[in-house]
Amino acid sequence: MSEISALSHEYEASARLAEELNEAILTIKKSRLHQRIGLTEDQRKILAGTVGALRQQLEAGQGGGQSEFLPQEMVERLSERHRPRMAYFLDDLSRTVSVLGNDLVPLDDSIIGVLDEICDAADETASAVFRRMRRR
Amino acid sequence: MTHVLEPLLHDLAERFRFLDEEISKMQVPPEAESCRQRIHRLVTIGKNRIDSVLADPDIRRPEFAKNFYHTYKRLCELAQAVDEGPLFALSRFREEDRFLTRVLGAVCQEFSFPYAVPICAAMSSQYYCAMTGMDLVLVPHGEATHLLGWADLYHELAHFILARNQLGLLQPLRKRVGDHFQKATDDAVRQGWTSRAIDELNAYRTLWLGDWIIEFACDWFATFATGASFAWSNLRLCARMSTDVFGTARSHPADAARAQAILGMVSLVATPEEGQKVDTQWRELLGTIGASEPQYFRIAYPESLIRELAAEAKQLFEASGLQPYSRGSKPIADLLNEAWERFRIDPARFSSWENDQVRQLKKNFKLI
Repeated sequence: MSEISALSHEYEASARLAEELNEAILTIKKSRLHQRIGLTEDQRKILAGTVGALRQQLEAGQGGGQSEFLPQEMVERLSERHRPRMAYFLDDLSRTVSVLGNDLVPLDDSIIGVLDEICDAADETASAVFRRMRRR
Repeated sequence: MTHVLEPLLHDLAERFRFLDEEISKMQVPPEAESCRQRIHRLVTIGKNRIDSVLADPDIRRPEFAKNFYHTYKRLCELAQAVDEGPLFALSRFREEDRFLTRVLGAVCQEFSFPYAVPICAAMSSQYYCAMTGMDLVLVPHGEATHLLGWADLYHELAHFILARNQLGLLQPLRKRVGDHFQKATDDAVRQGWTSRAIDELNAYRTLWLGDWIIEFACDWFATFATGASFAWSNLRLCARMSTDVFGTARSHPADAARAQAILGMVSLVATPEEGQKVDTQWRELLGTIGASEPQYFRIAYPESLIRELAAEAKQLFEASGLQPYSRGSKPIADLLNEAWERFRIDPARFSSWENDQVRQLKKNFKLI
């Protein structure tokens, strides 16, 4: 009933996403640094699904398809940031989905850069919602 | 010199040790024990995570700094949420809270809530609210002894259900919303709407897909599980708190749209007479306030969409094993419906009947 419940719901979703992305990026970075096994095939597919859902939501404000629904505030942050060059960012996301979906292709710096950027937006969203729950 | 993050991580590790100790030694009544254990497990996970970050050989590498900082922030939020939420509630858990938690447990059993029962504490300054990650429902102090608002407990429980089953419950509803607005936009383009009007249509779609569908779904669930009593409770809340029943906020749809949505579910789970009575009183309230429907209202909240979504929500709830309200089979939901019937017939004498019912419930729970 109160706004707290909606914010709590929103926080849980954005914090979970931020955590999942962050853990995945840490695993990728560690695997590259220490030459060891990184994400499993399943983990890559899940990550590809998340990036694909983001692409779908960014493209003309879509959403409501069969894929996972990402926190709107996070999508808006990325949309705002890339507004002048959205087509390029959508291309980057498409490439990221495609590379993550193919276990044989190594994850290069540009893929990590894209994931880092999405992770930053998820982190900022989680923090912002958490603060709104306390400083209303 | 150490990196800025390292001492902060030590500080947080200390905070988790404190929380761990506090929750470990805490003595709570049986109603709150499983919640205490769940929160303790969460704190243990947080404590272990921070210890593993501190022991990580890559902690000082600059390319990892931001990621460890993100980990630090999430864990800080966890520690703060535990401290301000369940730890605060459990450390002051009173008889009223025991009673409300038992009521919540009975409610959960009636409609087959698929998760561990949250605790309920009468210490909210924000009306009814749920902290979904912390298994906590808060209600205002006076609600422990007043039945007319209890249907809102179902709305709060729905936040837990929806947060934990987004794909099964929210995603199909979002798909329907997305399809509706896609068609509406295509039609608008064909009919030559101005770009500003089309932008507004898109803005409504965005709001629907975000927080609005969650609030609508919580309302539908509360009505699905308690019948008309939630519609009455909503009407009372609107009368008490609405500033503009047709006004729209990002986090909540307009009260008038919610009332319409709730009536849509009432028509599916209660008798037509019950729906008619709520509708008549709702119209009286609108007349009293002097509120009239703005022009954009039906574009933002299309009647057909709301009706279709209510029907789909009912199917989705049932398919996930949640039990709808049916008169005579659910003691708490029956009590709430009876309370509203009695209140409407004889509001002046309602309070004495209500006191008797609350006392009887406490006896049933062996709390007195």
